[in-house]
Amino acid sequence: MATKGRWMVEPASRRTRCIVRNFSEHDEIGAVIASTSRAARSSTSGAERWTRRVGAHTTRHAAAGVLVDKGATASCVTPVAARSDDLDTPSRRTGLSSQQWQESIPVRWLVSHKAGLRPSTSNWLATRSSRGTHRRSPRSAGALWEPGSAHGYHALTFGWVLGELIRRVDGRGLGQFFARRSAGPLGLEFWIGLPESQEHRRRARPLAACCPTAARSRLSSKSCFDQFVRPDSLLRRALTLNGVFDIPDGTRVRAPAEIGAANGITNARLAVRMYAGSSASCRHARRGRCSECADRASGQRRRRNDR
Amino acid sequence: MIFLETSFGLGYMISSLFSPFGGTGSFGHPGAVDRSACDPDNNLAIGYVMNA
Repeated sequence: MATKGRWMVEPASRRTRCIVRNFSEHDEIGAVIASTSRAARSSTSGAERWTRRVGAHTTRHAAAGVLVDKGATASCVTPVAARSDDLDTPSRRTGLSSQQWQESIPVRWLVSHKAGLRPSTSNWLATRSSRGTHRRSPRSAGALWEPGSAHGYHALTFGWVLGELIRRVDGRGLGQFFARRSAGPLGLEFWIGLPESQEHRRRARPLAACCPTAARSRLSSKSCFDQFVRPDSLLRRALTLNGVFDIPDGTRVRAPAEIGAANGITNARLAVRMYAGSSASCRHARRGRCSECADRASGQRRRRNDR
Repeated sequence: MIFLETSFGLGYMISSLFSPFGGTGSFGHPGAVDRSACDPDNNLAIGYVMNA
């Protein structure tokens, strides 16, 4: 979204203007924005304070979409771990290939992108997938950095490892766990791994399949995105799962896979409800053992008192 | 890897140059086809889903 500054605190009218510009000046073909406030959630009229649909092409795609779902995966792991000591427990049950990693990497480093895991070197969705495909453990030759010493965006290994952790602890796959623990209680039509019975809800196409040529050429002209278009670059391999996300839409190769970092399917209004639920979990965690949230909260209080 | 400053909390991104959500307590994720986040201090959650 072409915004400057902190977009959540921008006036709604400015956010809307920015979104309209995405259609008029850029290559946006469809989008939905929704928001909710705590006061609105307590009202009897429903969860959403307002919902805007923008653009002539939007409504045909409005029922469901493809949503990068690291937030959905995090909603499965973080609230549970934050209320226990599990965040600092070595992640022995992640299926990481190295026993040394299993002994030394706590869950906290996995959820905060500090583990330094390399992206997979093989296309594990090259064969036709089915529910539960997302179970194979990463076979990494080693860490990209000393685990815990730095952080970097684990674009897809994030969901990969945490999904496996959930499966080994709970016995259910990530998609089933999310449906039972997050989507179900919140009343969300939100799937990590779309069941075949819900295939009719999938309207959006993967970005790579519908990205106009003009937009691609602009991306490639920017030096910071050069790596994105190079198939062998770390960024490209991390973001596309070694090319899986370049698979043309319509094949149902990808939709049922429980990819805990990139294959959540829902719409904007329900994504908002999930985050509203996560917000409540965060407030709850602050009262408990979520030290990082508590640190941020105390910092805010100090700043308010300094005013 | 993505040439911009990133900040991660426990499973979510927190406000940074790459993900300028809102107040210091806000968290979410700016993905390839969505940008969803919440700000617990302001009781606000926003979802923006592109090509969807």
